[in-house]
Amino acid sequence: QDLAIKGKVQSADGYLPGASILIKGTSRGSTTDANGDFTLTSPANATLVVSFIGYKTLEIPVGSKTVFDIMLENDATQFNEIVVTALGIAREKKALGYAVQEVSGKTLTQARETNLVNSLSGRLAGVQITNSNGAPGSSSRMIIRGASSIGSNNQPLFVVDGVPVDNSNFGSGTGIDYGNAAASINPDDVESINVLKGPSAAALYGSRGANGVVLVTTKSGKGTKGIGVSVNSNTAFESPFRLPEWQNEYGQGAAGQFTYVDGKGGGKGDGVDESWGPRLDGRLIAQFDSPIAADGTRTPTPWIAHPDNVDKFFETGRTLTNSVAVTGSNDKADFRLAFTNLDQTGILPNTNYKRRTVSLNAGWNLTSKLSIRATGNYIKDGSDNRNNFGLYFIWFGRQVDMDKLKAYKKPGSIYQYNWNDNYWTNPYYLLNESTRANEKDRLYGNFSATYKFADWLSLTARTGTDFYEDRRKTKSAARQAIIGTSALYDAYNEEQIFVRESNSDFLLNATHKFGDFDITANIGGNHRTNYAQRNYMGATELAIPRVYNFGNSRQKLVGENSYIKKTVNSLYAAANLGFRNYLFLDLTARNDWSSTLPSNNRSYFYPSAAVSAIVTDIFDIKSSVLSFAKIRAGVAQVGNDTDPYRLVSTYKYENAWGSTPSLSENNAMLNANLKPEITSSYEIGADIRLWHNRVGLDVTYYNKVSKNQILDVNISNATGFLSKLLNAGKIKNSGIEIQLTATPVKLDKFSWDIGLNWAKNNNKVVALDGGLTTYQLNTSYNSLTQATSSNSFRGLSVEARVGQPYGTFFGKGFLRAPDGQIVYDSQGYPMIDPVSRVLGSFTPNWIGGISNTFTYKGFSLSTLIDMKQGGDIFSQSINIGRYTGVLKETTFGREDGVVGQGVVNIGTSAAPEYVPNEKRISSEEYHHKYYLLTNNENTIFDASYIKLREVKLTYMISGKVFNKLPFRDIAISIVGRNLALLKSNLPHIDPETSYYNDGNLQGIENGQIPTTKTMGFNISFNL
Amino acid sequence: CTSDFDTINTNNNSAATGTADLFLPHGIQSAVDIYWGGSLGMDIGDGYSQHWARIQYTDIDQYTVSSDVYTAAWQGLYVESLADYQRIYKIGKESGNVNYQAVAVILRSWAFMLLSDVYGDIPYTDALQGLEGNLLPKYDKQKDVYAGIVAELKSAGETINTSDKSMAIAGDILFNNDLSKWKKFANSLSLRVLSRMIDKADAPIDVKAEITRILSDPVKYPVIASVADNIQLNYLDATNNQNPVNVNRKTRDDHRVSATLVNKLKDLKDARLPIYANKPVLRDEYTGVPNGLSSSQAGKLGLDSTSRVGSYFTGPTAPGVVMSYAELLFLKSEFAYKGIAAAGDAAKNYSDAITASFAQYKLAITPEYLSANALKPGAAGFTQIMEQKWIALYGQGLEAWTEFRRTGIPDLKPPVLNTNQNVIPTRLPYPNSEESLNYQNFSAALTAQGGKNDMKMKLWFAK
Repeated sequence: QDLAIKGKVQSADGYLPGASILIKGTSRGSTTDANGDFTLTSPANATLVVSFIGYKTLEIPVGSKTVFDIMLENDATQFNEIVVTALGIAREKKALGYAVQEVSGKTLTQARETNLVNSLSGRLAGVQITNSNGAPGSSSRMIIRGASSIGSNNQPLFVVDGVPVDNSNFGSGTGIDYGNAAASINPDDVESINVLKGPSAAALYGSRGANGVVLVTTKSGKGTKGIGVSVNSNTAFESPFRLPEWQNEYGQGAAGQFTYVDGKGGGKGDGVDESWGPRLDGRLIAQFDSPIAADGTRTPTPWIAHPDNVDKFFETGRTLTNSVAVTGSNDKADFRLAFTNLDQTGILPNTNYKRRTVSLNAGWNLTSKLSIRATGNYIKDGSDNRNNFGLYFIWFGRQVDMDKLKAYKKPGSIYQYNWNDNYWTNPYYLLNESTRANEKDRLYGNFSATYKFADWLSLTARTGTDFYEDRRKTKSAARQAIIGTSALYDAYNEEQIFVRESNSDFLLNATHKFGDFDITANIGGNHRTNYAQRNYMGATELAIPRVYNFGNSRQKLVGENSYIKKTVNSLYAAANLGFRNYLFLDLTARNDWSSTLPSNNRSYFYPSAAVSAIVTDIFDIKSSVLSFAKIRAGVAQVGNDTDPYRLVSTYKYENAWGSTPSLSENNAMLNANLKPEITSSYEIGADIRLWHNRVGLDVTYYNKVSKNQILDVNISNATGFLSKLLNAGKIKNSGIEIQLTATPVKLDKFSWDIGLNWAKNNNKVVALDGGLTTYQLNTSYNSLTQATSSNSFRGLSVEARVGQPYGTFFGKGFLRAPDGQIVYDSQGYPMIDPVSRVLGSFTPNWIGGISNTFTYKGFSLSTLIDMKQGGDIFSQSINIGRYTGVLKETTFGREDGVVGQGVVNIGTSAAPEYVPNEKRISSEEYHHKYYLLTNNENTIFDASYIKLREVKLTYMISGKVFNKLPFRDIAISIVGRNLALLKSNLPHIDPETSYYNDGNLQGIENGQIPTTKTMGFNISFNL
Repeated sequence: CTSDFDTINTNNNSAATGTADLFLPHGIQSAVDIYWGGSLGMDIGDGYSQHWARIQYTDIDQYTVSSDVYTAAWQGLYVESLADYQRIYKIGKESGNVNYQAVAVILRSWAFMLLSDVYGDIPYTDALQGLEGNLLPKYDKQKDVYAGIVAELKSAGETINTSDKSMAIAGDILFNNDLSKWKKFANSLSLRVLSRMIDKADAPIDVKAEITRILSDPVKYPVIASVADNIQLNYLDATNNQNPVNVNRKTRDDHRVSATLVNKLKDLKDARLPIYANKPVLRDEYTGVPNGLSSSQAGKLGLDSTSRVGSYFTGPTAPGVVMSYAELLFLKSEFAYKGIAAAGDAAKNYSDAITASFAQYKLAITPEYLSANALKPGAAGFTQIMEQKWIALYGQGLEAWTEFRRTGIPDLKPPVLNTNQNVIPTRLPYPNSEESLNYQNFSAALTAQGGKNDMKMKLWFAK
């Protein structure tokens, strides 16, 4: 006869929810609820098997007892966390000789960032993420353990379900961010993300693994019983994270004067886009929006401040994300089919981003030996307008009433109405009439088959592809009213970019156990092809206004196209040797053959080795303090190739002269003898858990040296060339990463978890090549257009300079007296030192994050604080805003002038004699000279920050409440992202921003769209 | 399976081979664009010669020059223009076409001269050897650059073969493939170079003998002989073929005619004023802008109350003049004044030069103007020659600035507000790239010239 029994399962740490109670020899059983309680009907004389991961399994005879109080003992040997490693091989984490860090998909979907990469910010030790701007669908840059390549890509490789995906960002050179490919991976479909940080982790991915690998595993239907449906709906609102603080005391104009006549200099200071005009005291002044009398003159209107004119311009962005997934599985097959719709409007008027994703992941065990799996993702994303815009208000008349600009066309005209017709386009006119639209279709996925020859031997073959076509349409509406003949005509261009990467690989896997030894061996090979194509056509002047068609061109059309191809073949082998399950040795070897290198150098080999030892098991330590201890060490080498077509020079096409065709000598000298780049690294680390896992500490030290870097080195222009491609340069990164997890409180219904990560990376450019000391990062190579371009920031150079960290700012600063005071000339103007100097570097000293999670019953509250110490930013906005008198701090001395603080040399340059500067100049003159746009010293700021990155409150409703309804597991959460800047030494702008989305040139703020703060709520449930 | 790798890595997007004619259009246009437009042409040339002044963003007019400006000129001429001429020369040599070689040498001479006029000592004999592996070119002294150019132009002009049809050239957007005009260019340019050296006791060549060589044998050494011979690029009204000043005016409105020039032309009642300047939108009188205003002073003057640069110069098809008949006659006038018999009569050349300058703008010269400006004897006469030359060089500001630096005429004054310690810039600094990438040769050049890398060091021709 059966007994109704009940009980409680707990451990030294408290109750154990979710523990399994099984009647031995049957499939009958139960699990404990949130309080560790269970009920069960059991025959007498049966035996209960009580188990829970991380604890020793217990067998308890039932006898005649009906109430059980079960205590499970911590099992230190069971740290069998499974992680996905290189080539998609699942491994026990404890066997790895290198650092791997995981983020679960749940974290990503609740935190709800449109861009998957942004939601990793602050969660991973040693991973720096730069959210470039607030435009919908924009890209982000991810750097693991510092930049290791001087001139090439430094971003990690993204691998989805074992197949690399393309992560290029082919900007159009117009400052518009069309997003990189990692940004379009749908967070709703992600099961987990594993980050392999060092080359030793990534040795098997070859070249592109040198910067680390981000392994994305998408959700599958495995483990669901029957058919399940899950639904997630998210609504989020975005607003600018930070806007400059403006002054509201003085309006537009120069020398304290302003009268509007035509907005281009016809009146007094009305052509000026600066705010050095009269005090905003309500006096009557003719303005752009003043009523026009019958005789054509303007009736003066009150000259007053509009303090919120800029804030009002930005709108509340809204992102709606709805997804539904259907999953199912049985013992033979599983599937998951999901659809997600994302609809976002930006903080700039008339900007948006849309993304629809369909994903399928299905597996089928055809026979007991053969199983197959297919994944496919179709993503359609794009925008009607992703205009870049921002610097505008840094050149501004502070009195301008933005509301008056909303009707952006002149009455009876298709052309703009504006406050200034000298330089500026009405922002509403620009955003509504000059749109940057794109539409991208992307498909990626793979097919794999595994055949088990025997329990110990299997073969997996896999082929995958990732391709997209991006169609961009850029309209530029004529402005007409602007000076002279300016922008008399509309312009239009279309750009079509097609990118494809295909990978096919096989992997033979064998495992064997003899005695105390476990051995796993893998042999594999990969064939990769990359193809990209760009077609561009542009009409610089259109005949009939607003008809955006090439047939409507007044001028010869401008056309460009290019195609690039690349193939890499690889063979690799890996062996993992385990001894008594506490000592592990990993060996890998790989050889690549790349089409981009010359025939004598195109084959390159590189190995890695790693050991890990579970100290607590080896010495059989049983301690209530030390639960687990592991030490690990690894060495690795990774080779790297280059972009296609960098061996033999070709000539550049130039614009034809009328009908006479034209070529020119290439500006870059290529190199027929390139060798592969080699990154060598070692890392050591320890993973320690204390007090029954209540505290976990993971520490890693690493050192990596990259040499033979393939660099486009700038050379003296007198050679006839800008640069020569060399195998030059050695860059060293070393650093420490610490991850600490702790559960300070764990009570019956309440728990508190802390996660902390911290990383310091020392980055140093060790050498370039004979004689050269500087490599300029402002020079960038675009493989698709095969063009080297150079960006200049008012003379500032961003460099890899020998002996300095990567990303050194080198430029002009004030001339200073020996005591550090600024030297002024006899006119009261600060002087500039003719010799350039190091002004800072964008490389931070350290980065870190702290997360806290509080759980009480069904409630969970989590916070994430993200910080960066050190690293500078070049801010055009702050410097220009001071130059133009629009920022808050520029109001001093407006009435009686300013005496610049510093000294004047009244002696000679050989025998200087410094006396205090006493020359009084107007505030306008002072600001123009002090914040001279070519004085770079004023533009460099410390970009350290502490940010409240995320606050999330979630409530889980237990199924019982909805007994009669089909809903299960309802979770409601409220999420805030980028909520507050807790500490920053930088005024006016977000210290975490970047003009050059994801390239190596970082630390540049150039008036891009402000980054955003997000508030949203999320509802998810299952059916 | 790497057998197809070489095919995969072959770049089919651009040309691996090209003929000489294909390099001429870009080679010529890039240099004329730099000479006539850009910050070098407009702010340094036209600005520092006080033909133009800034009405907005006046820093550069107060002699605060950003490194972008002096980098762009250096980089543009070496990398865009000279690299093409070098390629044309190489192709000409390989194919045995002496005319392409000569054309390349003439263009190269013009560009090197421009570089030396602006910067001083420059890489010349060592320059353009990147493909040969010389990444650290040495600098040559300015006098050696000039002397080398005279020798190169002589041999280039002499080797041009106008009769052998197999040696015809194509792609010549400057002279429409007329080789006789290249001869005139070579010899006229030689005279310009020689004028830089005429007063220099340490010139490495016999300057007067070289001038006499050219002027006494017009058959062997023809020079510009009429306004129709003016060496100029006739820009086209098509995208990327437009005059660079026109391109600049599409988005910027920073320049006005300098008060120095306007006042001078008003004093002279000069009929060229309506060509050189437009009347302000809001005033019925030509109004020049003083150089080097503060932004508030400039703001008070107003964009529409001051004279914009004449429409003749801002249209899309405005010609980019490299050397005019007027300039050649002024050179001859100076040479005659300095006692070179072959140059003829100073006064005749002078009045012909003024007449040619008027004719360039289809203006008829009046006898009153010529008599009112008749050449005076002695030093006053030389001042007149150089002042009239300064007026005639309007648009070719770099040449006007160089002639001012060489002769001190006209008597230009630095603006009240200036950041160059009251010195009108004597040169442009070498770009930062030379300082960081070619440091030893860069610093040796400064030592040899006895100065700092600033805008106060006097160049050899001006010492």
